[in-house]
Amino acid sequence: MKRKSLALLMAAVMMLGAAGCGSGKTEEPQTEAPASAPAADAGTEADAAEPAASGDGFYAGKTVEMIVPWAAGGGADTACRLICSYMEKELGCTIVINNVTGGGGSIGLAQLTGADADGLTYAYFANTDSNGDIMLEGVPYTVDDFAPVCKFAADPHIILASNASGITDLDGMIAAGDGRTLWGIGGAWTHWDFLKLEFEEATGTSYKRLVYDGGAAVITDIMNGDCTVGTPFVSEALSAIDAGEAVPIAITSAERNEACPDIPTVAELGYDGFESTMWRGFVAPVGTPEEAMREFAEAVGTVCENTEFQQAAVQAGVTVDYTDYDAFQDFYKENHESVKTYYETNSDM
Amino acid sequence: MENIMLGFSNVFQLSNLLVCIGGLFVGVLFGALPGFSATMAVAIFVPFTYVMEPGAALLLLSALYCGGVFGGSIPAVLVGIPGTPASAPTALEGKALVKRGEAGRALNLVTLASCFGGFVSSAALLVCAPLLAKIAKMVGQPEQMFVAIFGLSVVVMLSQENLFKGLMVAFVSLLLATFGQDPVEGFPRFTYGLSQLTGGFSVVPVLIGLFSLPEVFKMLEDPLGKMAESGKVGSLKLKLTDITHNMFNAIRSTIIGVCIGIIPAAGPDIAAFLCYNEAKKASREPEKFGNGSPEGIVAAEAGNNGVTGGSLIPLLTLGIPGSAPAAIFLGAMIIHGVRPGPTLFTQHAETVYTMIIGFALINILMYFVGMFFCKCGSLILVIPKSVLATVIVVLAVVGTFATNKNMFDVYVMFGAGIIGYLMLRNDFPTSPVALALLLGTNMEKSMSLTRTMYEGELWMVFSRPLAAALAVFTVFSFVFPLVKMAGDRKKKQAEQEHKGE
Repeated sequence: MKRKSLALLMAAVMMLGAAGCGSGKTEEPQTEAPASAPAADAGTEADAAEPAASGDGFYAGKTVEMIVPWAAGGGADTACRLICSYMEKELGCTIVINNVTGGGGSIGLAQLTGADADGLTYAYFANTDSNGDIMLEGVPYTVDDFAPVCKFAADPHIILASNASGITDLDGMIAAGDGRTLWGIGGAWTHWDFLKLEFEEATGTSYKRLVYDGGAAVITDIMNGDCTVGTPFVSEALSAIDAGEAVPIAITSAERNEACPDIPTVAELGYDGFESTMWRGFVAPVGTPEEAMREFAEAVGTVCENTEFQQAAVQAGVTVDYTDYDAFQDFYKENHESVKTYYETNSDM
Repeated sequence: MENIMLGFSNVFQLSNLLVCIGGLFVGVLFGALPGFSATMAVAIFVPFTYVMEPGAALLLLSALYCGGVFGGSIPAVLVGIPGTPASAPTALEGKALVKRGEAGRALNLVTLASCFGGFVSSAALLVCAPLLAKIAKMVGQPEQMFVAIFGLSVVVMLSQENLFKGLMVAFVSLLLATFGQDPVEGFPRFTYGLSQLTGGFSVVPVLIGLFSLPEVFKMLEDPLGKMAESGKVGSLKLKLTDITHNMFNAIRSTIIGVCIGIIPAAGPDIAAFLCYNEAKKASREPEKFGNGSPEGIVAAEAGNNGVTGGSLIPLLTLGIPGSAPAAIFLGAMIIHGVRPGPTLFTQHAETVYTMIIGFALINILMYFVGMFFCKCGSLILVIPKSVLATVIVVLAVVGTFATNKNMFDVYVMFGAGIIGYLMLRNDFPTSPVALALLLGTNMEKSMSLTRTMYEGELWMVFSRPLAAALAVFTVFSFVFPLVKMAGDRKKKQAEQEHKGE
């Protein structure tokens, strides 16, 4: 009942909005819808258990800008909005999501590095972003312009093979690694490319790189047999697996995934220690007060232990994996060096 | 069957009906304002749907999507500015219709055609989704490549009066489409060291500038305006012949629209151009195209609304989005725990059928909402040009900025507008720019993928039945207008000789 009345309210709000625009005024569209929207759904139970955290920290009552350098509705945006909606309650602040897109994510990150280092601006960050100045042209920042804060998720890929290929397990796939088998990549020099390189290095194989524009296109071509193997994310791959349109070979995280517990990891199939995931984290402009960042990171940690959030994350295809402030500092540097080495040895530029 | 009935009863709940109508109002508005698009409407409202039940959420998004695709046609008819790129062909006809005082009739026809296209596409979604999904699976990269080349052939038809200028514009625009990183190695091309150009020109700002600003500059040439002369909207009433004459046209365009919807890379804009092209070929009065032909607008609008349902077919059955808004649908569905794919129709039958039945209903309701907007919209012609010009510029700037929150896009928009005006003044057609930019990147991607797949044996592409068929269509589509032109010229010559005797 409550939901319905909410829906009605939304409709009413929209009608009002429509009336306002109709009279010739322009409202700037609210891409910056407060992230609290998803939380309202689960709000009732959470209210009772709400800790005293939303009291007197640095963030209480303030407004934080979260720059997401990718479009609204995409994977990065979904993950970010989800965690931020829970963060608001934890920190007692308002988090405004700002989707600043373009330039392969570099426009939004450039905006972050130009922002005041007052602890009120953060940005979504992933594997390859710290190497933007090497991989993209005209990028005004380097690895040192960011203050790494923490990591909240690490999404594994599922290695899929097409039905037509006859590959059914990892051994079959390795046997096919003769440099001619087509390996679908979801975008040039995204994490897909690095996963392929890491896999080839670990198994001593080689595949032919076939670069697509996004994971959905790779899956389509695996289904119709044009592409032999590919490595979509869990949330992208499950439909195809359920339909029997593609064969799951292995998952690239260190442990099996809750959403598909039947799929073995690459590590347990004989490649000990193999792990390659697309991690998602937050950074702040360099010079941001460490205390503020620590408080922010701790709040992320608390949210990551929240079972309600964990359930919502599984549904959204986000694999929660928290790394705290201290551990993330080293992780950030190691990741930067590793991506840099792979890129410099393998790109022809 | 039980689920279908359940879907019906869900859709007709008061709250859901309100959601549909509210969504339509907002969607049409987004579509009608130059600079705001259906994709944007859907993207912006996704976060709002998190608090709703899955069924209601999907109804809201569907209403926004359908309304947005339709809305673009209103300003296209009234002021010759397409609200969305998908209405660009409609804008080619709009001006002349307003001058003849037939704009009212045209608006009604457009609304009817849009609803027809949308409704039939939702019926296709309900009845033959599994069958059409099989076709969707046959469409690989080689097929997409031929669809893109086929789409480009429309340029020949669009610029029959001056083939040289049309082709020149198309080739230059194709070159513009190569700006930014190459799809395979990520090598930056023509970026001039600007990180803003890493992803190439965003198509939306270019098209907003190209289609809106030249009209504004034209208004400025004549600021006092001959409003009295061009301000006639005329009656909204339709003649019976309007419907009977366009029936076959609408059906053909809808079918093309649904098929284009199924193909992942091509959206409503491409469908509109293709349908317009086919209608011109099939028409008994092709010379009327470009001078206010009702057939042209019916084809374009039935076609682009046909995409709406079509693009949801591969999404619901296979989890593959068939257009940009459909990709946002996918994200919203996953958030609601309704994962598309074969299990969707068994595990979440109620939600899915609510959505599909709602989709059909939305397209019926759209007629009434649409007519309301058409009536209000016709007031645009009464607004003094000085005010209208200002409002259009403001909308274009805000809309461009809002898409990516990026000032660079706004400069691009103004640049495109000035170039567009120069083109207009020198009789260069601007619609080939839209086609080339929309199709160029897709063509390059699918071409490079096809080349990698069939390395060293490229002719094997023709062993794919669908690709071969599309290749034949493409050749035909390029040659047909030329043959026809040659034929016309001969006829004229013969006539002149006849007169000479």
